[in-house]
Amino acid sequence: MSLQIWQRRFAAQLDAAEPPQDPGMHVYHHNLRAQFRKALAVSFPMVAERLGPVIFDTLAERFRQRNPSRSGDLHLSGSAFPEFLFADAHTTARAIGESPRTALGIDLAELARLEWAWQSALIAADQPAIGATSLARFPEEHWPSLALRLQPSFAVLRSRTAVISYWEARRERTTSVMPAATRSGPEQAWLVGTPRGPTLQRCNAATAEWLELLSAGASLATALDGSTGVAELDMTTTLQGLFSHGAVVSLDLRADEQA
Amino acid sequence: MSLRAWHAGSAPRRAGIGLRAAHHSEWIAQRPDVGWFEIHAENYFAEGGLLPDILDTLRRDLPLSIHGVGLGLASTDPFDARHLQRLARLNDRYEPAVVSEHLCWGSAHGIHYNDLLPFPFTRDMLKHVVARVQLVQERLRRPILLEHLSSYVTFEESHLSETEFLIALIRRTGCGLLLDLNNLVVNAENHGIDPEAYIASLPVDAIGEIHLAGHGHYRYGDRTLCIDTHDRPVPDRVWSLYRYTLRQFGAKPTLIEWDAQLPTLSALAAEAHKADACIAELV
Repeated sequence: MSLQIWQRRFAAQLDAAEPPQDPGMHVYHHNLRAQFRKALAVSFPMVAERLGPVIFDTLAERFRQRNPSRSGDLHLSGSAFPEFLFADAHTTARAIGESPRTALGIDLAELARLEWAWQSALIAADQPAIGATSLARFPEEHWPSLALRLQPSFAVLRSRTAVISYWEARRERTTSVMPAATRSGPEQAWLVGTPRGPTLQRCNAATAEWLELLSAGASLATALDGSTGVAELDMTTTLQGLFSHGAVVSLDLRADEQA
Repeated sequence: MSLRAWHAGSAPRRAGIGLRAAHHSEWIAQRPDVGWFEIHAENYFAEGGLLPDILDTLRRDLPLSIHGVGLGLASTDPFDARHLQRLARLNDRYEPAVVSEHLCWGSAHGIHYNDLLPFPFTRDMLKHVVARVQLVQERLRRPILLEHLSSYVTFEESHLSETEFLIALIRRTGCGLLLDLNNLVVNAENHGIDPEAYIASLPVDAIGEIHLAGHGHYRYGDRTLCIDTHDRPVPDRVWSLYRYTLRQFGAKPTLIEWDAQLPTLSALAAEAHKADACIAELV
């Protein structure tokens, strides 16, 4: 038997739904699931806490079966978990007897998306940031044609429910009492990793939409044109925030957009 | 690649402890009196953020050992190029005294099981692992240490003993051995191996590091197995095997492995000081 076939046969015993009869193989069968659940709970501590260990473990195992680890680094295994929660909400609700999307008035899939963005920003590469003074390199009439290249970890978060309020309250907690969501959604924020750790800044819906266009490569003017609710957009304050938090890596003049 | 090259990069011959995230602040504030420190490679693959700064800070004061858990040296799947690249980047940035990995496999048909999976000791597997170890050493431009496993199964297919396999691997690749005494005690309970005979059969020059850890007993089906848990103090049987090893081989860099149910940093350092006391007494 080739080494490859031997390993695949061993692996098939780990993949089987029921533990193998052999006590030793049972250990490996158990470890696979336990390690996966543990890693997922480290990446999504608030989702895990909100669901409690029994429900979270059930969900984690369902997720593992559909999204087995593809890396020797188990930390990466949670990347698809938020989308799994979105896509699997109804099936999961039946399985666990509760809707994970409505627990405590917050959407757990949205909370998972925020937790993953934070985890990713914790370890993402930090490119050298530029300050607002870099704008002076360009004539003021060219500013609308500038595109901002943002840090790889930059993310815009939009939630229908008060997930950001919930997340902020849980991070600042000093007791084990779980706060109720104090506000209703929708909520928006942007997040970026820095050498001092990630930062999360709240913003309004119009700003979130504008930032999404900017982070996709649009120039300041094109992003403005594409935004709805321009009246609510506070571009100056947002740009100051982006520069002061080290979110901007470079300014690129879109020659094709110059007047 | 010669063993001499490997010796040039060995850690101090005293005890070190693992750096775990729960201890980061405590460690920076207290700077525990230990000979060196170890990280699990995969926990520090971060490309930015706070972790690289923490490692830079601690690395300035203490020699570092990088211990990988996810490379899958014995897997028949191709190496994960990204994983290997990240390991090489850690090695280049922090210039550790030691780099080690487990002698195990971890993936099949692209799916990773993220565990230290055992395999039969055969000549085919030896040839396979030799090629993979050589590839990793060439990529890292240094010899590595290999840790033998604790295990819960044995295989009829094995026609070499574990020590025969290890000695052949060391001779063919120039790698060193990370001798985990807790693994030997676990395997003694589960499979009836003789730890002292195992140790006595190893080449002294190849042993670059020793691990000490705790274990527990758990029921699986109709059998109680000894499980390598790393969640409690080093038990007496492991300490006694450590003293035997020191008498056989002299002082070696020694790590207190404690990965779950973490104690305070000072309690962890105290466990390392016990190992230092053994070295002072016996060597």
